[in-house]
Amino acid sequence: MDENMEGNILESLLLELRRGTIVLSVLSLLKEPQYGYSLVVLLEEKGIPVDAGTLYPLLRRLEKQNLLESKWDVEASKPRKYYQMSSLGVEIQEKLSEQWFEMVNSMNSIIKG
Amino acid sequence: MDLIDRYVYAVIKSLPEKQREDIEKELRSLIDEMLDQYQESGSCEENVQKVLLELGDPDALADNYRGSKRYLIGPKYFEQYVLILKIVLGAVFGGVSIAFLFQSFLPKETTIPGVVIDYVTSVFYGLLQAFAWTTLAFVLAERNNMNTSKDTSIKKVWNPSHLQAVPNKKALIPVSEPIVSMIFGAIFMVLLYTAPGLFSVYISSNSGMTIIPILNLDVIQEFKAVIIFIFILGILKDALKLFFRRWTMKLAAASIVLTAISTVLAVVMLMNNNIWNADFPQQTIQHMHLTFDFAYVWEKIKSVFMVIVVLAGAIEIISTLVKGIRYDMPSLNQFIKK
Repeated sequence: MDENMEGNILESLLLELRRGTIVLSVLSLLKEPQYGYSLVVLLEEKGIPVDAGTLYPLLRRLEKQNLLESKWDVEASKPRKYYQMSSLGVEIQEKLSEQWFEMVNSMNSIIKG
Repeated sequence: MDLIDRYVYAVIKSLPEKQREDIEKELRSLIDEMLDQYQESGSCEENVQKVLLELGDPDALADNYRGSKRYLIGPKYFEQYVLILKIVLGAVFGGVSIAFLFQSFLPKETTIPGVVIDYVTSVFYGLLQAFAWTTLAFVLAERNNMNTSKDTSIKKVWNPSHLQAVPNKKALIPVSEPIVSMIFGAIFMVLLYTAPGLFSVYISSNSGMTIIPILNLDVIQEFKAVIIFIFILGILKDALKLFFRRWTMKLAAASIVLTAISTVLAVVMLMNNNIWNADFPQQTIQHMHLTFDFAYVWEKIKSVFMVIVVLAGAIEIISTLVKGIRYDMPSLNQFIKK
């Protein structure tokens, strides 16, 4: 198999693997209010880079599902839309986190044999 | 900034009206923040370019916002769409061509360029109509499908009992059957629609050819809408057969309803005595030098024709019902056999 193709397969599998973790990372970081771009920067710092083009629509979707609440801050020099977890969001985030820890344990035991 | 305006517009133009304003505000503030990051270096123009490149294709971003891709006709129906389109376009093309071929045998005062222009415009118009109607039907099907699949609360939960029985070989409808029926339907329809004068009696004598039309061409004009409607019902029936590919009670029921409606329409049309050329019997007697009372015979022929139409409809309805019961309702079938 040529190297390029191998790289592509790895790339797409990695993308798929990360995709599921984005929601949990975003929810967990929104215990405190953040606006979209600060979240992009924060996620990158934490080593989970997410495109703004993916993140912004995701924030809207989570808001529509009532997991997030938003509010425009127009008092600062630039208008910014701040997002924060709703009470439903907090509840869901806790349950997802529990699942996450279990999954990590199970996966570790599978991978390490 | 012109580029930013263009980018924002490209994203929001295909999004629902209600969300546009908010998404626009959000996007602009995002682009603003991203630009700040580059403030130190490069010209403003270059930085905008960089930021927009980072955000990527506006169509992809809009798809992300929408949460789904948009289709006129989605992958679920596309193959069938192409198949039906090929059949319908082919049938219309064949029908128009045959109609013109027949017409060219009729003595008429036309020039060759005139006929060619007529032919080309008829073909173009016919194909356009066929394309538009077929596409519209599939777009409606797609819309319908989209609405039902989005509403997950109503969506039925799948259960193994939903699995269809493996069909009896005889229950399968050969693809050729509805296709042949569509093609003949289309040819007949085109002939009746564009050249009802073809349905005539042709008598050649020493003085040349005499053509006596069977139908009253003026009255047929008035019935064009009915003729088209009957044709569409027929196409619909064939399309359903192509879709199901096997006899089921549902298909049988739909088929029966369509057959019943088109038979009733045809009968209503035929009952109207004006659609026949009133001079037909008299002219026939005159040109064929008949010695018996052809007018009386002609009346009989018309009645027999009507009976044939009714019988054909009835036979189709009954045989469809039998197929539906035999292949889709084994319990009822057993009961009948006992």
